Amino acid sequence: MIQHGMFFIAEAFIGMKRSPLMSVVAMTTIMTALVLLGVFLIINLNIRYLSGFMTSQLEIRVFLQQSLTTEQISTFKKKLTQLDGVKTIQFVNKNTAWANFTKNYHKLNLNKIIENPLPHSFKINVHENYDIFKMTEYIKLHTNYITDVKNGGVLNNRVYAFIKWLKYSGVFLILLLFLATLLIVVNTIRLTIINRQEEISIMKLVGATNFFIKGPFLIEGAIIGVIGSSSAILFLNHFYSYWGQKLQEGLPFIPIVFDQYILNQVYLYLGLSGIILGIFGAYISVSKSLKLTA
Amino acid sequence: MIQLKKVSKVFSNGLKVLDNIELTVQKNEFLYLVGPSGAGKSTLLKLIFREQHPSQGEIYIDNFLLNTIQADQIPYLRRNIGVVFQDFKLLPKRTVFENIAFALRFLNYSRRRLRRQVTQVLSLVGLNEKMSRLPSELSGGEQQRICIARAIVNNPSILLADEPTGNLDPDTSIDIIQLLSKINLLRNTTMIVATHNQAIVNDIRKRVIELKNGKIVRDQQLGAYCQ
Repeated sequence: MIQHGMFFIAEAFIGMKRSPLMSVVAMTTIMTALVLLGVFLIINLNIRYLSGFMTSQLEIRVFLQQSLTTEQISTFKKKLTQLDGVKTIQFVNKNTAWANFTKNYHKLNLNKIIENPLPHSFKINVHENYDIFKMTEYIKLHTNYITDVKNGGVLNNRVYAFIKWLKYSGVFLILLLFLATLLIVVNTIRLTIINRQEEISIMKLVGATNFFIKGPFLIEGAIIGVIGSSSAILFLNHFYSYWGQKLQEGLPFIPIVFDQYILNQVYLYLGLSGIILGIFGAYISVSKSLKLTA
Repeated sequence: MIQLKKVSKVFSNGLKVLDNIELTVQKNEFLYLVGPSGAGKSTLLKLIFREQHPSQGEIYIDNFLLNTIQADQIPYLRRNIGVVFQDFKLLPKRTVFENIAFALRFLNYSRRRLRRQVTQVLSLVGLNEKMSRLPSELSGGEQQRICIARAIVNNPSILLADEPTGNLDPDTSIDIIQLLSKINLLRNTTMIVATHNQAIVNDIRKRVIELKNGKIVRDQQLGAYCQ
């Protein structure tokens, strides 16, 4: 078995050496296809990150009854803190709220309002992807403490719909891109194999089993996959660090993923995809060729 | 021993290439298959080699019924049957040594045994000195010798040659048939040679099977090309 393995590896390199142009074409195809897949994955990653960031910025505002005592407010705060999904809870004093309001809307003529109309309130931030509506509905049940509960409303709805859409369409698009890439890779490797169709037919004539014929081509596919995907990863890494940085400088308020651990996971997927595409592409192509020869 | 019992072959377009062939080839026998183009010589060899299936009848090799062989067993059958082609079918980018060793690669031989076997067979065909050459650097006769060497390197019990002298000049053709005859004697290989070449059949007399329109019209010991 080891002897066969060594033979397959040696034959794979010999095969690539004998048709270098086709090997380079196959590697370039895999590289290009994986760069496209990688760009899509990174865009998808950033959009998800952005939507997560936006969600985490959304808050629930709980307006308290004017008549509540400090003790009651503290009890209610404790109760809210224990709720699932609550990340932070902050008490906003009615005077602070009014001060902020007058500061933000200083162009309005607010001098005629003698008494502060705003109540005390709580500002609640929820954990990422937590259902903000369920929590709002639950807080609304505490009628002896509150007058009203507000959340991002329409914006919230849209953000959630967008995240949901991203989850499903992202998976679908990645699958579609992967299939398209596989198709391109299969056809490119097929060209390299058609080039060696005669060799395959001679191998069959001298009594080589299909396993023995396929072996070197599968190894060759794997090598092409490794080189193609490594080039794609190197390119993406440089491209993303440069243009991502530029984008961050231009649009500093948009969060962009620079966490190398997360990016490495994307690159790992790409690397594995390249190897799988190379081997699978070679397998499909050589199997087709074997069917053509007697 | 090769046995064909009532074997017929009809192509998908309805053309009957072989018609009710009855033939027995004994172990170590040397026979010529002669006849005009389209008589069915190559098809008969392809049936034995299992490159094609018979439409009717049974083919036995050493009492093993070939009709029932599974696709995954065909490679093992072919290791016991060497084939020599008119167009040599050598791998152009591999050396003489590599071309011959190619047929032994899947037999799990050690490197030493592989080298020894290839060298032996190269001595037999007289091309020991040219093992590092590429096929394109050799003459037609030499290329055919390599094709023969590759066909016999794993000691098959049967050797089928389809027009082995088709691309060669008369002198080289005689050399090739003498080489096949030598292999037949030295290695006890059953030999079936399909040929158009009158001179070799007449010069080196063996059993002759003549085919015409897919039928055996003559079976003669030490026969000539024409009756």
